[in-house]
Amino acid sequence: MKRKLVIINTIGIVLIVGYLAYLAFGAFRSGYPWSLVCYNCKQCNASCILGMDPQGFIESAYANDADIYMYATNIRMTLQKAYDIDPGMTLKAGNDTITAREALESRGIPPEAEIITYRMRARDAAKICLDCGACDKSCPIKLPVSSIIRHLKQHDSFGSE
Amino acid sequence: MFKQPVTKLLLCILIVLLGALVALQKSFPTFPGDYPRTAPPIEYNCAYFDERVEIRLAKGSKLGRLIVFAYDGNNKFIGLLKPVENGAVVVRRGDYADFTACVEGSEIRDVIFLKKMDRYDKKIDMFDALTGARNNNLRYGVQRCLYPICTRCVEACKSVISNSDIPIVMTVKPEGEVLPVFSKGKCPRCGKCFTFCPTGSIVNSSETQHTEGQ
Repeated sequence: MKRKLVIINTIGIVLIVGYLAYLAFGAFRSGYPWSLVCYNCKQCNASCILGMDPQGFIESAYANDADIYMYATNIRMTLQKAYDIDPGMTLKAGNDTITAREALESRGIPPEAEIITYRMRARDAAKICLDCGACDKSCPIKLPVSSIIRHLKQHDSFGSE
Repeated sequence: MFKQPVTKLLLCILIVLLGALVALQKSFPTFPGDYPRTAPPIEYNCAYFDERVEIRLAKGSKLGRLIVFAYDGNNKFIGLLKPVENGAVVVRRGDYADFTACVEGSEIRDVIFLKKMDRYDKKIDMFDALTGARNNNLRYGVQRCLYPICTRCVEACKSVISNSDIPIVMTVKPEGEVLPVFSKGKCPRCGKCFTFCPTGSIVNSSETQHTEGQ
């Protein structure tokens, strides 16, 4: 019995270490290994006028995936524009959080109506970012968050993709 | 001749002046670039309707977004970041302000963001703020510069000039908009401010015509 537990523990540890190593590998592959040191304090979140959670950009670099959905809670645009960017983008409609596709096709909200976004892909958020540098300034460990944003703005994805 | 006390004194002053000049050259970098200048203010027309205010712009905006501002009776700057759609910014009833700031003289400070994630700490209806400012003869309008949200120009300048005496001062104009003002004597002409400015509020002084995205 005791030996069984040891085996289960060992397999568990190996899996966890393997998963963490995979994430770290992704951070190196994206070209932003420093994304590993972000401890998600959310200081940058409070400083973004567009309501973006810049930690989402760090998360996308960490996972080497520019399609990760991140919070962007204060971007105003027309529904049609939101739909054109990404039909899966979520937005606030009253107290509900719905996708742009649902808003346009199921709810019948007019395409020219101005909406406020809620969550969008990191690659789309980077294009809308004002590049004001407020997230860089507010980071307590001075991570150059805006360098990821500028990279995504220019290349739409991370290096190895 | 050099034994005269007056000549010695003059020589000393000359040496001190030369030393100061050399020190100043070392601490104050200069570049062969152009001076920055502030882009002319946005020309616009406001049309008031029952449930919306339509601000039609004479020209497009480089960023595609502008700050709509209005002052309240306590000289508080109330701002909302809005997109420009079809050459106009529309403020509807229920569009809540993004931030407020205190204005004292020509200084702006104590910026408070009103929206935290998808919730508002305090709801200030921008439509009411605009119509209130208009009815009470207070200042209102739109501005291209995103200060106090964005301080890219100031940060860029600080990266070149080591001391705190930077040539950019953010100033509240009599019309109420916030714009950078430059002190040419202190400017090293590095060009970082107008290179980094995302809004086109600061431009190269050698540009004869201000170009904006449509």
